[in-house]
Amino acid sequence: MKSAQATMSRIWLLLVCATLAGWALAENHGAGRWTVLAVMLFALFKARLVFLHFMELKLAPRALRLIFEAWIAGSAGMIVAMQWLGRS
Amino acid sequence: MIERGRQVALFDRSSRLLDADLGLLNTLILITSSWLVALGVEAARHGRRPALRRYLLLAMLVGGGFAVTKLLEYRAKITHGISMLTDDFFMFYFALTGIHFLHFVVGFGILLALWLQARDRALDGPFGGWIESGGIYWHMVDLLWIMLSPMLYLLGRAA
Repeated sequence: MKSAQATMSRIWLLLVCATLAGWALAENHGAGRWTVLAVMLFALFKARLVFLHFMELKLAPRALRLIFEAWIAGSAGMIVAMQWLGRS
Repeated sequence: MIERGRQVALFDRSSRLLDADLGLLNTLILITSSWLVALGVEAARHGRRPALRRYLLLAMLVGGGFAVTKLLEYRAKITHGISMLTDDFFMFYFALTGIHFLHFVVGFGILLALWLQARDRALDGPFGGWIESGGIYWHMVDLLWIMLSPMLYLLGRAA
């Protein structure tokens, strides 16, 4: 019980850090394409933490987990691709 | 995103009209509320009823902040004459955040129902499954916001 709670709290801390990092990056760097990529990688990292730990997909059958992994990676990839194409 | 690709300058310009600090605050609110629900689910599995109810109540209190900031943000935009009809960016902004907000309201209702029912229902029976399912729904609301918020608030700034 205690260790499960401690894990949840560590995940929450990681989520907060990734949120602040993504926000600071976007606010301070006008680097265009690479900032877009980095901001979306932070979002993908956060989405995976929520999926795997809070929604407990880490305990799900492998096939189900892979479907969800592909879905969020595909969503983030599509957003980055559209941004890059639009800015090229 | 396809529309955004076609009108990058307009989407960037309009995106900068949003308050990124409010976007940040809303993200922090939802991930904290999600964490509290995860702690509540864990407490329910161990039959700790008072802890479960305390975490659910805290999750609602923190989560309620999302509604406050979102409504303040909508009000600020509308009083500045910005609506869905302003341009394509704001059409997407109001539609996407509006649909997300509807899911948020449903999720909040689910947490409230769980909190009320957790007073006397057995935690190891079917109600345990309801708590887990309700928790997963609330995490989904969080997850959607994690993807929406950089798209609307941050990517325009990143240009």
